[in-house]
Amino acid sequence: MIAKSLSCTVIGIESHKIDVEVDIAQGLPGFNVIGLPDTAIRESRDRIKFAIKNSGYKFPKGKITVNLAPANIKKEGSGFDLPIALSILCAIDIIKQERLLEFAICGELSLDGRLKAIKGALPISLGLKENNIKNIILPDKNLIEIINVTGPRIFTFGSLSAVVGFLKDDCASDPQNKNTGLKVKHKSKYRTDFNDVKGQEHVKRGLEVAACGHHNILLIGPPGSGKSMIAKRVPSILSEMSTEEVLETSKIHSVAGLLSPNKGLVTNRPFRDPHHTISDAALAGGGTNPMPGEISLAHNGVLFLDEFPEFKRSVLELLRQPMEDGKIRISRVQGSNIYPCRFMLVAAMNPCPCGYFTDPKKECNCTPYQIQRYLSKISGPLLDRIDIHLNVPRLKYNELSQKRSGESSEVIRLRVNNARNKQALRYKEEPISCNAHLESKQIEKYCVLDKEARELLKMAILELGISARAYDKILKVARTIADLHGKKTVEACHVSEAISYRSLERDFWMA
Amino acid sequence: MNRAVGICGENIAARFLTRQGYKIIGKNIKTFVGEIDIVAKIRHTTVFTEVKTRRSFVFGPPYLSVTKNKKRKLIQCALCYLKTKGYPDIDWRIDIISVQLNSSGIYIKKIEHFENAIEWEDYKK
Repeated sequence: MIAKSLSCTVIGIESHKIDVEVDIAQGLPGFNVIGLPDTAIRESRDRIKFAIKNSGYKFPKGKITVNLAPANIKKEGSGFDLPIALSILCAIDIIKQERLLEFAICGELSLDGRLKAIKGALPISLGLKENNIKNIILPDKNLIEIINVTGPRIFTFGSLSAVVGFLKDDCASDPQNKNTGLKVKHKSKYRTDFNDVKGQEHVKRGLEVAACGHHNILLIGPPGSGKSMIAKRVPSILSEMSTEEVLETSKIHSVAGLLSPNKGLVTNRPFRDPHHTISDAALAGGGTNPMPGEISLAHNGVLFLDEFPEFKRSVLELLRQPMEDGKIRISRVQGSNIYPCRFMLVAAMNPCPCGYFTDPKKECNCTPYQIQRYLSKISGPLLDRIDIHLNVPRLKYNELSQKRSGESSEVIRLRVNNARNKQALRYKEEPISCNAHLESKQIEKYCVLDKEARELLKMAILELGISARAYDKILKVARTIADLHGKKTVEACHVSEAISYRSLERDFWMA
Repeated sequence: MNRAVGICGENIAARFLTRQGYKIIGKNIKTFVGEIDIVAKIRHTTVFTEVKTRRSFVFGPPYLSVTKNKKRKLIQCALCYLKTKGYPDIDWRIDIISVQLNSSGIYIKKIEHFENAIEWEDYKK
């Protein structure tokens, strides 16, 4: 008595087809799973046994051997409960083998036979096409996550007996994902708004530019000047995500098991703000079976690091390579996975250990050596990768006492969206979507300066001693500012604003 | 004394199995690794039975005294028995019958039959 069914597992964020073979032999009853299963799969034995019993079927006697093929891939997760259970029922002739092989099957069983949600349902359904599978059976708890997936026909069920009833019945019922095309709902209401912030107009402007071009940004200022407050309001001005971005980010969140059951896909740009005690592996991703870290969870969104110099040096330095490449390869003994991580870094820090170095009123009591040591925690290469540096000064009394002022997030978001759409249109042929990801070759092509701007930039390089990387960054930021103003070529005023965003580096780090 | 109680319990279990429709093949069958209390047959399944008898409840119910090592031993015994038969391709299982007697050992208080009490998983340490 042998039976076979198809299932899928997620490795990294890619789905792989797994054959589940079940053989029931005569002899002393037993249940053995082979094919590199992890503990969750090995324990599935008891869940399956009781789920079959409690769904009203007889658990077969005899020695049951389950093989998960290909045998060299390490399998993990609880998604194999359902295919194993159905294969067992197929082996005792409750389900027909041909019918069972029409579907890929994933699902976790509870003891009473109900189906529970699995991790990674989205990447699995999206990867079906590559594996030549047309139908898939999934738990109905995963429905909201996959309802927008087009291509494969997705059937969801609440319990083992419902699945068996469906498979016994030859006339197929309708798939659950009837929706054609991806519908992405964007949240338009935020609890925080930019007009909560009094004054600090240039900081708001800087963040608007950063959000437009997905540029990394560093805020420096004394305690209480509102760095964290402003940074926390960044999500409310971020542009809408494109369909591909939604799927990419949702895939990562699905693998990490972070998709909430009632919200479905990640339709708003993620905002991750880890505490500065975070470990290397938690930020970059890792673990015995590699899992995505905070930088990958912030893919297509914002990674906010408050108290930037307080992070461990090793943690900060590991950001360097992913910031350039937009992806990170996590290699462990168990295997190596690539996770995308195109995040926008928003960092906030004080100028010195006591915090009041730039404060005109309160005296700073740090020694120059202390300040230098504090600032040297942010290495040159890392600083170079941050396009926009902003000083956040302490507010004056008249700014503080004024009523709410300034533009609301909605107005800013409209402009950001506009500029983002322009970029997306311009980079249709390129593998990038925004200015911050421009490569040096593309910079030559797209960042066209007018004569005046060229002169200005030339002067800046000669006078200010700007590095080659900084030169590229200035061009990219200038391009974004030009987009914000709706200009085709980059003009002198755009370049001068871009240069001003790099001036702090010289004040602090080169002093 | 305990030996007598054991034999008494085995006889009770054998009668119990016969009444259930089992055919008794042998009792106290000795193999190289140990002894099997009862070997019986029902339909096409060979059933190896371990009988546990107790007169008091002080140390808990009888079936709990089948420890992990005893389970391993029973599987070894069954395999050994099957080997002497030339490994026939049959269904087989190991059951436990727990017999509770009253303190003087005259009345049967309770008989419990656990089918499939020992599985392959018990063989692993």
